[in-house]
Amino acid sequence: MSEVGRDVLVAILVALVGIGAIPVLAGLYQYLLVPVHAFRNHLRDAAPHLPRVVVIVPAWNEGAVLAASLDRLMGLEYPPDRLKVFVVDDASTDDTPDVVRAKAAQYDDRIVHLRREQGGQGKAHTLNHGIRYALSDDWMQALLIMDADVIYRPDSLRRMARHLADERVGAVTAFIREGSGRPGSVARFIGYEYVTAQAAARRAQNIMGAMACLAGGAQLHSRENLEAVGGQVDTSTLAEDTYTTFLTQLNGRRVVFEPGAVVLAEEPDSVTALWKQRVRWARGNVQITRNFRRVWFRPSRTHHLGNLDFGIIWFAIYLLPVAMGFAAVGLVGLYFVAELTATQVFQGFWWVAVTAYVFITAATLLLDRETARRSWLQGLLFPGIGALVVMSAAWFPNLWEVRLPSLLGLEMSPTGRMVWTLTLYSWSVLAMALAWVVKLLERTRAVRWLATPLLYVVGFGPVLCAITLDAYVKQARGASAVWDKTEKTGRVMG
Amino acid sequence: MSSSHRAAPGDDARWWATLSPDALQDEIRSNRRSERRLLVVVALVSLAITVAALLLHGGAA
Repeated sequence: MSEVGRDVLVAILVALVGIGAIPVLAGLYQYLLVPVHAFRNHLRDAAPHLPRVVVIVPAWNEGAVLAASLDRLMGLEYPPDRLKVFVVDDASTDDTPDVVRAKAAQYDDRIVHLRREQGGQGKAHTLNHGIRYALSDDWMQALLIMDADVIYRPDSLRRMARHLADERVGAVTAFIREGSGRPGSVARFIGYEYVTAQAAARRAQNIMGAMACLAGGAQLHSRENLEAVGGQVDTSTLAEDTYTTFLTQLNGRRVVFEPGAVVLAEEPDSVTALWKQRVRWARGNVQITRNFRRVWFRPSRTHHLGNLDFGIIWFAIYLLPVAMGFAAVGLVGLYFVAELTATQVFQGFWWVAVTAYVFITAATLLLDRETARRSWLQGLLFPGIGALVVMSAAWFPNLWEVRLPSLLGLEMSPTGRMVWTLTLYSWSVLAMALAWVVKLLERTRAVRWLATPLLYVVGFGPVLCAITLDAYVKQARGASAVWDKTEKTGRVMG
Repeated sequence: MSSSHRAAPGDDARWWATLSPDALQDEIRSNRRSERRLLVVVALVSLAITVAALLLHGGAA
């Protein structure tokens, strides 16, 4: 290869690693916006406001969790004469109708049972059944969409409603906190993830003026907004909540995240259940990205979805598996073409990652101390023990190849050193591959016990990356888009 | 009940739960203060930990 050709190849490989760093920098940027929320938030424009609210609870075989949810809704610190609950029973075959009827009798018909005789079409159709009923008269001023298994803190609805006093606001979302009574490792990881994805990221989105998604289990719409988006939620994608969020903003209304409104939810506690849930979410995001393709990177006077920073953050998450692949290809390629450059780029890349890891982990654990108490270990190990080893190798050169072996009187052979180096360079991709192994182990009875230790080695971030990649493959293949329900046990504390 | 008469833990929450306009306005003001305090502490402590880690690395390298 000529000298010029080699230089071009090195430049391309370095650029690939640079692309791999974009999601890390985007994450850091979001976290740097969070403190701005201390001084620039919508509480300044909020005012006492208690509109007449209809709560829509979609329910398909939710008998195990519904009674507690309804009791909590009736216990909300909100004027009883301004709150009605419509349970839309999606042709349940369990005791859901009996539970709802009993609760309706207990609470003087403030709870209404709406039965769909033909169900199974998915959550969006179920919601629309209830929304049509709610819009059929003038009583409702705001609509709260929730999930059957979530628990609203008593002050949560009124804290959301106060933002609707500002007519520029079309919808408000709350902080969904993982609240399982006896959380396992996966649920604890999700608890930590929700602080990063909601308590932190949505504060940053409040600052940017562009919200990626109203939480499916906690979205309060003004009646005007609901009518402006067509009086129904989208049924053509797997992400009806994101679709409504985008339509709201494209119509010129703001979407606000209220961190002080806390809603507890029970989340999946196995990688298999998580995989099923998140593949659906990721496929929904593919559909959203495609459906709103004319929005990205096109600034507008009516909304901020087209702003550069929001677009970069959206695509940094959307293309995270690709970025991780680019970083690995870049580093491994450099190793064979320009070894010294590979070492420098590797140290630079992971130096950025370590800085982001320390800042983001510290901020996340401080941001929500209740979650930090439950999930501090999962927070520290979120990137995985493997990634922490890679970070230490980047920060302290020769630590693993020379210093530690020499303490034991050992020396790494040249071949061993090459294998070790290539493992470090390609870890971002290896971790995604190992995430599949975690899922396989979990499904194999004899070695199921290995799944959790391996999960901690791989890390939760790479598991999410692998799931996203799987979703893209399924979407590209046109796999059937079924609406799978995540099984819940009603073990939410609160 | 005015804000100056509330001292015991939980008093604020009970006052806000009365849902009177004064109580709701007081809750908004209090939440703004809490948000400011929380995020300033989060920013300063996270930054201090990150700088400490970078300095530690500089010293060890």
